[in-house]
Amino acid sequence: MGNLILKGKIGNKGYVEGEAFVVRQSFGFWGTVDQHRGVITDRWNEARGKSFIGKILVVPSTKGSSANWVMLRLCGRLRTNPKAILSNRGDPLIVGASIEIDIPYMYDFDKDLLSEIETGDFIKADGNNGVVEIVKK
Amino acid sequence: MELTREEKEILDGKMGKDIQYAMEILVKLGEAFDAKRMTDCDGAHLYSPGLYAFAFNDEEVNNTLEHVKKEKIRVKTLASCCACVPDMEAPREIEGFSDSYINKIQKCMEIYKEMGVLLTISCAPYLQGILPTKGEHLEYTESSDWIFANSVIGARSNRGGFSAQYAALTGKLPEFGMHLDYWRQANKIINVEAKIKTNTDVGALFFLAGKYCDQTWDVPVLTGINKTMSLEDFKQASGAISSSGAAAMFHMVGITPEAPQLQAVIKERKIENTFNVTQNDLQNAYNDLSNATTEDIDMVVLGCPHVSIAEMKEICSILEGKTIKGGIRVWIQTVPEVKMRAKQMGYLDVIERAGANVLNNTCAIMLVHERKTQSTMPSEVKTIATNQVKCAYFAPAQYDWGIWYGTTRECLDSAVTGKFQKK
Repeated sequence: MGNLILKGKIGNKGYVEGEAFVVRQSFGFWGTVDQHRGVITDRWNEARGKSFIGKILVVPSTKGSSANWVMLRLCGRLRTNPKAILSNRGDPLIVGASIEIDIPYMYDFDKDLLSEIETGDFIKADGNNGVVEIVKK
Repeated sequence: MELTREEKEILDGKMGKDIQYAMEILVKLGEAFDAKRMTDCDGAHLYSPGLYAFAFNDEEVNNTLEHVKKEKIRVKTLASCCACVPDMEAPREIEGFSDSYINKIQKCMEIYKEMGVLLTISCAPYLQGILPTKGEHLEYTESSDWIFANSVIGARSNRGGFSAQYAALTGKLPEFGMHLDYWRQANKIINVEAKIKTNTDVGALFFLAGKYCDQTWDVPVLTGINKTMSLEDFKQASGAISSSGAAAMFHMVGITPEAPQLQAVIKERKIENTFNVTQNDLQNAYNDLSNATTEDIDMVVLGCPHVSIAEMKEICSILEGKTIKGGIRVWIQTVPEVKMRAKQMGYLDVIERAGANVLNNTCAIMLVHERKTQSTMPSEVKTIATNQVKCAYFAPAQYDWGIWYGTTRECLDSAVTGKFQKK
């Protein structure tokens, strides 16, 4: 059986491969993330205490503060950022930040990401063509 | 995207590199969301100078200041900026930042002043005369402000970040999302069966609304609310929904300007969910917001978003003749415009005599990394009381504090007795 392919819209280009880290509830990069540790701190999020550093972050949507942009940019500077971000819905704040820290960002896929991707799956995120390939763990 | 000759010239670098970069990002942003064109930016609300100090090192701040002066970089539209910076006129020990950090923030403020950005430094610029009008196209940072502008006023803003600065520099913004009628329609209906009577009820309700609408481009329409919404209620609502949710606007049938009837906001867009909020749901939201494990409180935070003059008057009447218990911090976060009026009316004397601090431009839940490393407040405070959902939402995630969410009176009474008691 071949690997699953999803097609989405491109928020920012780039190609990376890596391990998926699925966060099932929306969160924001300000106020509910410790940028210095790359860790989610939202008390309502099941992923609280977990790190997205170097992972391919899969999240239904980002939410909350406008500082999503500046704080994801700060994560980029501190090298605590995810390697790529895949969302069901696109957020202008994450488009802006992903352009400025140069990581692929895609959204509006032909299938629900959370039904298709699990933490630990190997992902080929091709932001140049808007294609995500999932190698199940 | 179809660009005008002027926009193309900016993009080609004819107006300088900084404005070219700003236009490049705005065009990419527009392309990502299928914008057909740019539109003139009628107002921009930029990041806090404090966030600049957080995100950039000393050398970058110094270089930017020099660069902005040398190249005479100026904004092209009315531009204000968000909280926070520490209150520069308050005794330094209250917020406890180091001199070098204060100096860095002052340089960030100087950058903005040089660029022509008004140093409003507030999450509630509408308290300072920065009041857009219906239909104006804005690029706003501060989630509660774009929600307020979209929902309460009928102005138009997407979720803005550095794009606010880029829009201010170019005078342009990409026309997509909340600038278009379609995306302003509701995709979720919230029928409110619970009785909404107080400002804290409004907060609890919009905390729930945010949880129901935590996907970008969600727009809820709320029905069944009989309360007359005050400025402070809308301030609370905007802060609450922006914390727990991703919606850039909300409608309230018969209350907000674009929803005289339900049908006005449910047209082409598919309704994805309908929620009912019962009295029980509202009570659960209250319980959810207050996670403190002890009644003993160490701090009260009011003004998230910043306190209005009506709130200041109420705070004054509650604190008249009272004394805040020793060791308990009370921060009333506001803007100079409100503090000046409070002083004129004698409210400030009463409030300060009781032992509370009225602080301009600040925000206890911002500059958290710096507060943790430079101030004693984060380690000495374990439990706080607040009347604002935005603070209740973010403070535990930022500091691990326990929270009591209650009315202004409950919060201030707890500062006097030392114990939070639900009335």
